[in-house]
Amino acid sequence: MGGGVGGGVGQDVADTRKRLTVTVNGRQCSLMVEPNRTLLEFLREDLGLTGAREACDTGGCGACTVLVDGRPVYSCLVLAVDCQGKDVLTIEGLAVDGRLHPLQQAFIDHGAVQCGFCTPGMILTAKALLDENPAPTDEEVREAIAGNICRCTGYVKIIEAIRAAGGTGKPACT
Amino acid sequence: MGRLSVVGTSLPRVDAWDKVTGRAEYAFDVELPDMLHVKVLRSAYAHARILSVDTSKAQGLPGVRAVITGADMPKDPPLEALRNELYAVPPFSLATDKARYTGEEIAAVAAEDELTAEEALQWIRVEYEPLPAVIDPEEAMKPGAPQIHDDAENNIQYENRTEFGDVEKGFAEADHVFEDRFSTQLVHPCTLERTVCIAAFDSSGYLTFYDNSIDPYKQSRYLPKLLGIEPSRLRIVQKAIGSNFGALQGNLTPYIMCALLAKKAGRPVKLVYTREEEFINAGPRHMGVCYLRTGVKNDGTVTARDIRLITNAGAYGYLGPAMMTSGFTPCAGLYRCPNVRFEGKCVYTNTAVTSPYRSFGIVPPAFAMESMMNIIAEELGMDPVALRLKNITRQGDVTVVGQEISSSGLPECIEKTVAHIGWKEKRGRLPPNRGVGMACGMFDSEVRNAPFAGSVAYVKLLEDGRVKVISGEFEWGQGSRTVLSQIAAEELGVPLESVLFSELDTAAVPYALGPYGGGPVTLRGGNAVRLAAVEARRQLFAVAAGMLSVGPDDLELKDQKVVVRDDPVRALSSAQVAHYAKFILAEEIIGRGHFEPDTVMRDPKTYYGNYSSGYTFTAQTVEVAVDPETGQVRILDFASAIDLGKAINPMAADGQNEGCVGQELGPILLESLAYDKQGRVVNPNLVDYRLPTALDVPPITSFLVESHEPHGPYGAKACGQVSNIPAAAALAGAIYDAVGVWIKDQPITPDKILRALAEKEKREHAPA
Repeated sequence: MGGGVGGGVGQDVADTRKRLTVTVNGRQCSLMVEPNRTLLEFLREDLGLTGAREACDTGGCGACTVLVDGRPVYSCLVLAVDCQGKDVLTIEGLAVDGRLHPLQQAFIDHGAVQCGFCTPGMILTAKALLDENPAPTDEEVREAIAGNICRCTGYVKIIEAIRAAGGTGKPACT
Repeated sequence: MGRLSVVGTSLPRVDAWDKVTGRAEYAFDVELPDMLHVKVLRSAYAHARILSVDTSKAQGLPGVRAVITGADMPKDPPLEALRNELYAVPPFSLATDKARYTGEEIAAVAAEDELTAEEALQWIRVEYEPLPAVIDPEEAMKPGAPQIHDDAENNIQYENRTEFGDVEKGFAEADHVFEDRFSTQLVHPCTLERTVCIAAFDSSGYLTFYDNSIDPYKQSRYLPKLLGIEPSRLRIVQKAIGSNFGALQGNLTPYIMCALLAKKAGRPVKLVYTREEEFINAGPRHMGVCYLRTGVKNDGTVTARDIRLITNAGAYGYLGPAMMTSGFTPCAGLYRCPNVRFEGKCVYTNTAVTSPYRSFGIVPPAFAMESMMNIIAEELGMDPVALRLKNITRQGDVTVVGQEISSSGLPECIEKTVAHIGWKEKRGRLPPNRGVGMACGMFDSEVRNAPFAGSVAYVKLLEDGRVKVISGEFEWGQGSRTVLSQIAAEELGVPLESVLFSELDTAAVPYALGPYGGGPVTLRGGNAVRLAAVEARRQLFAVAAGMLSVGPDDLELKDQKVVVRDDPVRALSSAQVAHYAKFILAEEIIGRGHFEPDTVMRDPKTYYGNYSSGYTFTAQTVEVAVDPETGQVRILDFASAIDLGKAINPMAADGQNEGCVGQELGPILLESLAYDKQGRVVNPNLVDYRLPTALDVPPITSFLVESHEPHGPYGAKACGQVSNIPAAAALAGAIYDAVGVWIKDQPITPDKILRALAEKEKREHAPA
């Protein structure tokens, strides 16, 4: 290791930013962003929406999942400028007027949350599933969330919560 | 004890709302004004002499504010003082003369942004003289192996031998002696939130850290010694934690680096590990090789056990010896066999410093011992369940290593899981390639690993009737704040929503040991909170008695009101009383609770002693299908029972049980932190290092057995780190039942099963 890198020490770079206009959680945003900025960096650092979590940065864990035009994406692998004109939903936009989305409520009631780091991505992946298939089987839920790693729960209560929110699961324990 | 209304109920977590809305704040999210970003230059070699480190070019880079190397490390660190208090010195320094693993810290940079800090690393020139490396602990002990530390002959950091009873006599009494070798691999806990350390000095020199470590109290105790700061001028604050299963436990290096950089730059600094740094630097679970001999009579009575365990400490020694002790004693205590010998060696290797990863050290020996119990049952033609029931330690026993078993629901755990799977109908009777297996485990419910093993808590009644718990017991996601809040709510007659919990700030809340040994938060912290709440209630009654002109004994709590028992119309709300106490009497209603377990430290040489005021038990039974063509194992059903004394929150306890099993399936079937011959990690990312996904984890059925531990709050023991102990042996047993081969080397991958099947085929068709 050691040695030099190409270019001069600490060379300044020309301003290459582009205007990005995107709807985030129902609100239109218009900001200048670098073309290499990921959607995750844009959300967390430019908009302060830290609910999308950064855990691996290589598309290996799903903690940064958000919905773009209703489809789940790893926001660490998507460039912000590629979301031009699109509709982005993050966990912060899921509850309406302080009322939780049924998935959020089901995650609480079924004990599907432990450390909570995977929770926002998991809930958004589940939302995309339920929007398409409101009554998924156990297997369909497992397949849908296979790209979202949880280290705490063994997925048992997450699957229960998703199926309950879709109306096909058993009620929460009391 | 009257009827419980909050304790014993599956209430939602107190932090669930913040977590499902994305508002929970983790150390990862903490940004301070004017904060610099830290990047670390790590050794490119697993073993090399460092001839020189030249940082002059990096220092001149625009945007770079501070650079440190080993030369900036604390001078004359008080190693003796640290050793006296910690029994071992944790890693705390950048490498100076020698690097001992790929990923070891050599220099660190603080810069205005991450990219600049990263670029600066490339301008640091390090001259290495590479040395041969050794990764495997058995290789490392051989004569001629590379010597990693000058003072450790054959790379042995620690070795110990202890014997109970008369092992040779025990073997002489045996009708059969079984002997085998079992092994487990290096695996990484892979918390989703990566290691974070933020250091900030205020204008008066007061140092604050924000981190997500396992050990903020220990750090806050030892860092002042190393940094030359008065203890009262340093604190650690923790936000929500994106889980922690033990990695980097006790490692002080990130703090030292950040404190020195913050001091040098005169600005706050933030270090966030990359995922690769997690894998190469943040302590993996050690690998373990276990040579085991067991003597047994024809009727299944175990007469002698001889255990030889070799583990790798990694490049520096710290918790290896402790993990060895903690792994051996519960394995010895699980069965009544009076003759037990243990010989352990903890060996330096050119790998990251190993750390505990859920159930401190026990996985390697437990896999060996429980697998061997299954092998013995098979060879004796006995049901593995019957073999267990014949030999297990029972309530009231003092075990061979001195554990006092004040409660055990192990027989019921066994019964529940075998009934769920349909053991009797299925064992040996399933269609080809399907099988069932079972195993048991035991672990501490807390542990005395230091003279201090207690817990202190304050419970305060606020003027609006809410209750605040002030405790240093940690929340890593396991639900401890919910459980402790339930206890306070129970004793003060308020709903769980009315309980607030203090933020973890080592300068503001009482010292706590943290979740060592089975998640002792419930047992130790729970007792302390309960006592504090009882004292707060006493004060509440005393104030109310004055207000109502009655005696405190005439009062009772009902629906958040203090009521005169014989004249219930005379009542005051708790809020009224607290308000009066605070603003009229100028007295806060605040109870202090202190719990000190009646235990001793294990003898450092013999390992004998009753070190926990309760022991948690588990049994697991599993059904699998094995594809003999591909070697794939499919788990059809997994039943896991834990004897947790009493479930304070059954839903949360089920979550611990299921989660612990789900997580351990990774090390058992999928994961291996792989080093190449040069000592580089070949899979340091979440694509090549395969964690269990929802498609890998089968349905898990959790059973909670309540044996009512007399030392626990409401009878509760620990439940967070016991369900991973028997899982591998239960699965290996089921695989044997399915296809007739024992896999004794983790992970149990398809290629090993296929190889074993091919060997079996060869043996069976070999000419007699």
